[in-house]
Parts: sequence; structure tokens; C-alpha cells
Amino acid sequence: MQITKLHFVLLLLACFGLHTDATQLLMLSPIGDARNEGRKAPEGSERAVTRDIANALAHEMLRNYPEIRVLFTHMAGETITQLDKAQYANTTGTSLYLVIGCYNAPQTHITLLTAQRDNHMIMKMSDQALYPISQAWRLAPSYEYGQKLTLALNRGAAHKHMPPSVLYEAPLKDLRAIAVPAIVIDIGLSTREHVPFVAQVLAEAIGTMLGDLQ
Amino acid sequence: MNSKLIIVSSLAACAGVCLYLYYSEYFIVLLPQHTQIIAESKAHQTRRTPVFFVRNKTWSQEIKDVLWTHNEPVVEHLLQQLLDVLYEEKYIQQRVRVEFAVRNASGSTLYIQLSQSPLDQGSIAANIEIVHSILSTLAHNNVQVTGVQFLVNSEPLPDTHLDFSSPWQLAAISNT
Repeated sequence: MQITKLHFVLLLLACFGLHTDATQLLMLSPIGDARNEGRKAPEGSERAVTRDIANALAHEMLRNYPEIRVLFTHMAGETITQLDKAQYANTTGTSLYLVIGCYNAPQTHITLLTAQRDNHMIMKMSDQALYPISQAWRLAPSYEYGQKLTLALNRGAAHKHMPPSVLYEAPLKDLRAIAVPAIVIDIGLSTREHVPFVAQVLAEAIGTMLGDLQ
Repeated sequence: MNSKLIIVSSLAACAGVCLYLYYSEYFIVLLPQHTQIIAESKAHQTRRTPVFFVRNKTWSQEIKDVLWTHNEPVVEHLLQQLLDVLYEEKYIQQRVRVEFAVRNASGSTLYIQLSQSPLDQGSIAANIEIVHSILSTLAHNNVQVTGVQFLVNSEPLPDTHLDFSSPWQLAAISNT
């Protein structure tokens, strides 16, 4: 009887342990799809370069932070709407949703953007309320995540090679309806050869930030 | 007695014809408006006014002559001066004209129609800085609105990344 009780307690603890040992989920959404090639980027379009950066970032994350799972919103050659991306992110328990964009710039640098917080307009809502998709950002601390990621980027070795990153707030179409922490990473690239370096810098900052949050 | 009646009825008929012609707009009465024009010219005055924009991640300002009325700048004139500065400083690639700026019924939202988009297809941050320059210039010059809706051809300003479907809040510039 005692052994049965002990087994029951151990089983309960094991279940509890499995439940709390949640792997963090990073969702990457490179700008551009089969229909939209995006802005001009070094030696190609934004669509091609952001895919390279996202692949390199996923590879770095897998190598250095195996406890963090990485998912893509869409594969190369696919087309997906913003609302589909949002539904995908909101229903899979995503820890951090990252949109990756890039454009031609004289010097390689990283800018971070989060959804606009219009604090003066916030009304007290009851626990159960319907938010319009333009206000989905209210359900996640994206700005705080943005601040932490900016700090992590500027604290790391990156600042020796790149100008410090700055965090902006704005109403962004790329984050519309996303109800999990979400950040746009807009990368100014001077040459495509900097892609591995940028991916390494980003992976280090994201890994540090998610590790600190856990 | 008969002659009196004839005169009164003739005058009444004439007055009726005149009123009919007036209401049918066969003739229009314009009253002298000298007094009103003088009053308006006194209400308008040119003031040295700062316009704000972001230069190398920090706020800069230039002083321009802007028309003011009733202790508030004429918004079209103020924004045109700012857009001209942004064009001269090469923050925007083409000269943009302010077509009109009107408020909604409550006066809280300002609708600004531009001849074309001042934003380009480069950095999202640079485009945000252009919009924030407009918001900051309005906020610092006593334009009493809470939000600004940007329009081109009576439609929300088109942009791939920034969302102009709703008014941008003036309070947003304090967050940058």
C-alpha cells in the first residue's frame, strides 16, 4: 500500500515536472513571400536575404541554445496572410515572435521595433473582453521584451562592430493581431557577407534574453 | 379711395415680383464686407515658429515664418514648411504638398491629406522619424488634437510596414 502511494506521488511529480519543463518557442517570420519580394537588399531582394538570415539564426539557435525551439511562419515559396501568421503564433504558445526585415544601408546595423503603446487610451477592461486585432499588442509585454533585447544586443560584443541598436514603437502591419511578445528586427545591411555575423549576434542576444526570462 | 387701393395693390405686386426674383436668384444682393476682411487680417499674423525633425537620432529644430490665427498655427502652412525642410535636408526624396488639414467634429483627430507619400522603401525607422517629425511639430506648436490620420488621395497613407489605417497618437512621440 505504501509502495503504491509512493508510486502515485512519484508519478504526480513526474507529470508536474514534464509540464513545467516547457521548451521555449521562438517563431521567425522573414519578410517577403512568394508574392512579395520586399525591399532592395544587398545582392538581391529582401525576401532572399531575410530567408538567409532566418536560416542562419535558426542554425545558431539550434547549436547554442538547444532548449529553445525555432519555428518558421512560412517556408520559401509559400504565401501566408498576416492573420494566418497571427493565428499560428497565438495558438502555439510562442515565447517570442520575431519579424526579420532587411534593406540596403551604408553600414550594417540592427534596429528593433515593437507595437505602438497608446497608454493614454488604455481603458480598464474586464478579464473577458474582445479586443480588435489592432490592439492585440495589449495582451503581451512586447515593449519590455524589446527593451531587454536591445540591452542584450548592445551589451554583447556586437557594439564593438555595429552602432548601438535603438528601439522604436509604431503601429506596424507586420505585428498586427499578434498577441504574444513580438518584435520586428530591421537590419540595415551593407553587404551580404555580414549575414552570418548578424545571425550570430542576434542568436547570442535572443538566447541571453530568453534565458534571463526563464 | 380707389386710387389708394390701386397704389397699395401695385406696390404689393411689385414687392411680390421683387421677392420672387430675389429668391429665384435672378439678382443677388452683396453687402459690403470691408469690416470683416479687416477683422480677419488682424486675426492672422506671421510668427517665427519652430519645426522639429530627427537628425542623427536626436531632435533638431529650424525656425520658420508660419501664419497663425487665434493663437494656433495654420496647420497646412506649418506642415508645408516642415515638409519643405525635410525635402531640403534630403530626408524625403520628392517634394510633398499638403492638400488640406481638417479636424473631425469633436476636434480630437486631424486629417492631413498629402499630395504623395513622404515615405520611401528604405529603413522603417527612418519613416517613423518622418512621421514623428510631423507629430512633434504639431504637438510643440499648440495644435490641440490627440490623433493624426494621414491620407493620400483620400485613402490612408500607403506603406508596406507602417499601419496608417488608424490615427497616429500625438502622445506616441513622448515614447521615443
